[in-house]
Amino acid sequence: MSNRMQFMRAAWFLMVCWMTALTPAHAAWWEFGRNENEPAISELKFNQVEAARVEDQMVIGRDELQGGSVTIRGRAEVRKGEIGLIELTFDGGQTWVPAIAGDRGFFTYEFRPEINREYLFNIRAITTSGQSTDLDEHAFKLVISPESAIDEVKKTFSRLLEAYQRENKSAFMALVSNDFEGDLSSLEDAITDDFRFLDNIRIEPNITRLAPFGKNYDLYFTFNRSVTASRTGQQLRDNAASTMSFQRTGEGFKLVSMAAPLIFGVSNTEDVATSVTEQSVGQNVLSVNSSSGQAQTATQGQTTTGAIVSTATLTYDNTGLIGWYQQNFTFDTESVDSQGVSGPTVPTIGDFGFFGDNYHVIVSAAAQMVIMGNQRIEDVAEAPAGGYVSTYSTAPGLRLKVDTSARTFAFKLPGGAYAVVEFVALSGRTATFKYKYSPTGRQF
Amino acid sequence: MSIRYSINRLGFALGTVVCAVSAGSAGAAAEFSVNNRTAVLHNSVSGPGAASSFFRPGAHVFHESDIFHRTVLAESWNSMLSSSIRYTDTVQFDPDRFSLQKFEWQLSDATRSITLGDHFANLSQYSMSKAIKGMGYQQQFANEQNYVRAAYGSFDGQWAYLLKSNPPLTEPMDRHGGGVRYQDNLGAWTYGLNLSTMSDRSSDINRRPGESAFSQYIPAVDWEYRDSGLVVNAEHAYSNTSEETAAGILNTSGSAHKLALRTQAGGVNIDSNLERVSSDFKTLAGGATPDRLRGYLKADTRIDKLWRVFGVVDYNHNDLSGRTFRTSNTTYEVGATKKRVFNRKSMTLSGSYRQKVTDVSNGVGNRVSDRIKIKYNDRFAESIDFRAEVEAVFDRNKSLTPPAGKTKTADYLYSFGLTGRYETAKWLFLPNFEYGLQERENVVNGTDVTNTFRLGVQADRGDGTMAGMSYDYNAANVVLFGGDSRINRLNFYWENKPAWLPKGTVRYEFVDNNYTFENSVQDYHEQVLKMTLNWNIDN
Repeated sequence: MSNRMQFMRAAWFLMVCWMTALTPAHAAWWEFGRNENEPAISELKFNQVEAARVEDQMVIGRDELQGGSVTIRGRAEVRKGEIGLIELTFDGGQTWVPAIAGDRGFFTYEFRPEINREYLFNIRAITTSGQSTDLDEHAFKLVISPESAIDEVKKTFSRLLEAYQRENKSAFMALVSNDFEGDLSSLEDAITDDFRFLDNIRIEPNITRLAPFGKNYDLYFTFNRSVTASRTGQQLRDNAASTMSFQRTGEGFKLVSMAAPLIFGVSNTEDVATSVTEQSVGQNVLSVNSSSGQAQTATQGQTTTGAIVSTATLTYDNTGLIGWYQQNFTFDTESVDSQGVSGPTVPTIGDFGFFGDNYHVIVSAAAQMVIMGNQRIEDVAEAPAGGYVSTYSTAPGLRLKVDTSARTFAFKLPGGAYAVVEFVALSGRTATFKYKYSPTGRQF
Repeated sequence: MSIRYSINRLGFALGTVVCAVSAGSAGAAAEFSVNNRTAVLHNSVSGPGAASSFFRPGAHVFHESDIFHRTVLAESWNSMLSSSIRYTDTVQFDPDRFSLQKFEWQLSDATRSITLGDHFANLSQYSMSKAIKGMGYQQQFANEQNYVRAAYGSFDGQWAYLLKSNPPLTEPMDRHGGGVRYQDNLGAWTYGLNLSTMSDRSSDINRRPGESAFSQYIPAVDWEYRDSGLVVNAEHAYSNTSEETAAGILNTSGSAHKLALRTQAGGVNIDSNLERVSSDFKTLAGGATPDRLRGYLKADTRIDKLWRVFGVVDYNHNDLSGRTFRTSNTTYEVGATKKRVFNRKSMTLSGSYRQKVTDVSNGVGNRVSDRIKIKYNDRFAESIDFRAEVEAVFDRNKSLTPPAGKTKTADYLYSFGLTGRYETAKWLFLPNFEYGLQERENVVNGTDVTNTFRLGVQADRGDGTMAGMSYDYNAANVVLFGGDSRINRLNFYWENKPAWLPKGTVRYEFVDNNYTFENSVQDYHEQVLKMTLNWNIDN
């Protein structure tokens, strides 16, 4: 089955669920498969924490209690019949207490727990005909931690750092939420690649702020980092500011999102980070190419995809004092120079020039270039390894011309520098292009 | 007048108001606390590679105070002030000696709240979900599900960027923004209307060469349907962005849509979502991955009291604008967990298989990764927990562009751990042991092998006295010539609540890190002796 077919099936399934959800609430058609006389606990919350899918243990911080209490809210339902009683136990079923029942099966129960004590929680709903819910469904250990939620988040962060620096992937992934907002499997692969391509990982963070934000706790920090690139043995260092979020789960706080620059999963920033920390834009930060294994420091751009993307304009015209002129561009100084010409000419100053009559791109004698088709510059994380041509020629095979199928070009420059250019507008004899530049290698 | 000086004046005015409020409410029941952390430490770094250490040799100090004040004002308004300040004499912790880390002042009654200073502007994921320095307002109607909220401020990450006349060189271009959200709950349905806007100050001297200055607005609608264990939520947003560059202004617009469903159907837990973010959708105050179409479906169910199974399908691709290269990723995963294996009460076995296929269109290449993972957890003698994990990953890469070719690699990971719990009359001991071995095949020629080992113990007397030690060893033997390394880390600590420090703790810590390399000129050795006081003042 093709990938697209798989996707369409999933999309169809979701649409059917969504459309049917618009039908009256009591229908609950999606409860198929369950005995119609069998009641179920469909919603369960401990204060603000979702508990319906907790399996083994649930931890609540002391500062998450509301006035020293946990208010348990939920809903019990049955397709045929009526709910007669909802009971809870905190000692593994030795004693049961009734919840306060409301309309449509909703119930509440307020409970004042002792700090640092373990409770064996369970809940059951019993219909008026005597049917009870499955007692294995919501049986778990409830612990009220003596620590504050903020202290717990700090501990989780510290355990993540420890696992990462010790290159212990299983310990690391155990602290990542299944609801991770980036791509969870990409994070796991990126961690594997980090450990493959980086050695002697050292990260010294300083927390600048940690506070609740909706369901999450957001952690702001600065960091110093040093690693050894395992492909080259080169030691790389960087420092920047970043952000990550944690969410309460039954097993304690877990990592739920990260912003670039990343300290974890740096081998696939694009799929792992969900935003960029503005404070770090323009800073040199670690980047790893998971295809080549090359690690280097590169400028943090304004998007998760990498380096800063800039824009410039070149013209070919005869309106100046020098008659016909061709404008050339130099990447490292970001400068535009005009050169008097009588047709398309190899630049004497600059890395490439633009011949406006035929929209030709002309590389300097010291540089080489290759067409990359129509790729968005934001998607280009690395310049091609090969395929570059050295000199401009009007021979048909070597014309590098901007047109609808070729608007993105990569440049191999003297001193190991690379650049990529995407032409975004052609007007008259003028071209506007976006570019990004790496003075140290093919990665951006 | 520059924005910085305006904000300086605003800060001064705020400070005056806060002092006045605090003084005026002195007679009312107020809550006041200052939680302090003071650390005095001595670092020593030696060896030919000492320059690689982050630690600054010599004696240093680090201090943080969290200040909290809460009181009731007239007509049931509550005032809550929360602030954090930091002092240090070393850039190891902060480039500034003295810094304001947090300042938040909130006034609230039963239905309204006003926040000044640090504020989380939380409208919706696509429109605005951002920590700002500015102000926020919320007016609640019938209940907490019905409200209107508004926020506006600076996106600066540090107070130093706003308050100092010579801010750190890391200060980014000034960015300001805000928005408003209206949320209404209609029983099972909830909807939210959002509008956010932001702009960069393009004339700011902190604008970096080549850096674009953006301004944008984003209207967004989000909604949720929640009933009988079914939760469907969605958001639809449109962005209109103006990007000022050296070459002129580029105007772009894009849209983002997300639909998520979570339910339990016939005993099967289902989590799914669909998301489409167009290539020109930009959100500078929210969160989204542009140029992405994604579908995700996860189902898991308990077959009986012992068996649980799950399956995942995840598909995404970029290049929504239909240009040349499209990268698609498809992940399939299935797994099962069995409890009480061999009738052992605590024995759990789980296994999973995952295949991830990455395809780049136009015949550029593809990558297939197969992963098999097996986990085993058990408990012995009622107090010793054992876990073991084995994972094998097989990658196949195929490149059709020069240099064309195929590569295959295999990685293996083995991890074992033991944790125990022993109690004597006075002490609780928590020993732990871990061993890990990772073998990663290098595409070039050979296998990188990493061994990790850890042994530790914590002891807790239950009265605030704790002690612990740990030893970590990490050995990397890599294919790269001269790339092998060894790390030895030793850590001891003692913490207690001395009588002379009521409501506080004191912690003594010694750390010894030894880094040795195949190339001995890189070797270095660190020792840290640290005393940390946690001391609190409150009423």
